[in-house]
Order: sequence, then C-alpha cells, then structure tokens
Amino acid sequence: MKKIQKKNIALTLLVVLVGILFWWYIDRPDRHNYINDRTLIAISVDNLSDYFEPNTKINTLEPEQLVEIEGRIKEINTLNGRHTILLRGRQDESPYIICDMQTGQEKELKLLKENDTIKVKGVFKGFLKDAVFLHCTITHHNLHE
Amino acid sequence: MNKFIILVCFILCTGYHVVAQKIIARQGRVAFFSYTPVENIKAENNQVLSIIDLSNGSIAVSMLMNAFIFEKALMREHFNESYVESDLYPKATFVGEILDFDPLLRGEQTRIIKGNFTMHDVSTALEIKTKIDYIDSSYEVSGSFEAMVNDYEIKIPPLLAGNIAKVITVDFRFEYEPYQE
Repeated sequence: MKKIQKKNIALTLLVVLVGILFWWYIDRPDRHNYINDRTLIAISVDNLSDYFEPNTKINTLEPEQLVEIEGRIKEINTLNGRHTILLRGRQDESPYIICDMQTGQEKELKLLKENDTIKVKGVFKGFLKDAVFLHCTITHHNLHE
Repeated sequence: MNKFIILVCFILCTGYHVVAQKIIARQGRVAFFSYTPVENIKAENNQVLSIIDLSNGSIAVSMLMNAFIFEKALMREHFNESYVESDLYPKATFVGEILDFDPLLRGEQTRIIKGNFTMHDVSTALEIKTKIDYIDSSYEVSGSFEAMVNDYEIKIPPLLAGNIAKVITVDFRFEYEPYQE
C-alpha cells in the first residue's frame, strides 16, 4: 500500500515538474543576454565597409549570426521608445550599422557620445539600406582613447 | 516689376528645392496586433526603411520579417518558422504613391496611399488612409490598415487557429530626414 502511495506521489510530482517546464518553455520572454555568448564574427572599424558595402562580404553574413562590431558612433537616439545606436566606419557615409540596444544598459548609454569608438555585440538580422542588429550589448567603450 | 520677378524666382527656387529631394526613414516603426479570446499577440519592428520622393509622391517601404520583436520567444519562433517563413521570404515591401500629396503644405494633411504590399511572396493592392505631418522641415507619416492572414497564403495549423486572428491590425509610423544618395 505504502509502495503504491509513494509511486503516486512520485508520479504526481513528475507531472507537476513536466507541467512547470512546459509552461516555462511556452511563456518564456523573448529576451536573451548575448553578452557571454560566443561571438561568431568580429568586425573592426577598419574593415566595416568590407562587410557592409553592397555586393561585398555582406553576403557572407547569415541572419541570426552573433557579431561583434567595432565602429564610431554616428548617432544615439530613442526613436520609438527604444535606445538605438547608429555606427559608422572611418567615413561618415551610408551604409550604417543600426544597433537596437538590449534593455538595462541605460547607464552605459549615458556615457556614450558621438564619434566615440565602441564595440557592440548583436544579432545580425539583415540588410536594408543599412545593416540591422538587434539585442545589442556594449562590450567595449572608447577603444582608441 | 523687378520685385515681382525676384519673388517669382524665389518661390520657384525654394519650391524646386523642396520637391526635388528624397527623404528617408531608417528607423520606421511597424507594429501588428492579433486579438482573439484565447490570446493577444503583438509585435513591433523598429528598423523599417522607407524612402519618399517628394517630387512625385512615390513611396517605398522595406522591412526585415525576422526583426519583429515579440513578448514571448515561442511567438517569434512560430511567426518566423511556420507563418511568414522569414528564411525563405526575408523581406516585406510596399511600393506605392501618396495621392494628391503636397510636400510644401505645412502642418497636417490626410492622404490616401495606394500601392502594392508584398509579403510571403504574395502581393496585394492596398489603399491606406494616412496622416502626414510636415513640421520643422521634417515629415512624419503614420496610419494603420487591416490585413487578412489568408490573403498572404499564411497557413495556420488547426490547433492554433483559435490563437491567431483572421484579420491583423497593422500600425505604422515613420519619421523622415533628408536623403542624399
């Protein structure tokens, strides 16, 4: 009798655990901190244009790749209620790198200013007139000071 | 007489200057909403590109389908992998014309934008009522329209049919700046 009771309790606990895990999977927020994830590609301010000029290495980047980009800040804005950094290479010309910043970096963003050289890590989404990255996190600030 | 000629030249020159240029929005916002009794789904894309040619009122919009941000990770996965198949059809585009658009008219004007919206490799003709604000030398275009899921050959499994509305509400807002090619 006791054996059956123990078995039932174990089974119930197992069902509850599976239910919790399933619910966690269904309900998990679409957020991820990529800061400690392994970078697949690193692009520096010097070879930025090699990747993001049309018909160049842009074709080698796949959507959803995690990329670390070094660039100069062209603009920081809060359009649409989101913090976004626009990066450029050595020249101030299109195409730019649009980095939609991960939330929780407001303190770091306040320290940034135009023409600072920074490194950000983000998920490459694709290329329109500019290269689009989401979930960006600042990894280095003022690299050449 | 001389003053009149100077005035006409000035108006023509400034007018030509304004209508000759193109304007660009690199961070336009497109959001969609699906309301059902089971669940509400909303997503937004804040990196939508749009260019308007002020000389003829033509407008083009392009967006990356995988750049929509959802509340839940599973919603994004379903959207990209099962519904819009963003690996096969990465972009959605709109090409059209702003009817009776006056780029020199300051303040607010309500206009119809007529054109073709292409998503999931399916094109549909749309007419969208749009608000255009021209304030301090910058243009803002905003509006909304409704899209039928069936029109774009998006297949929803019967099990999830109750979770997704048949008609999706799409909101958009673009802030433009001068564009130099």
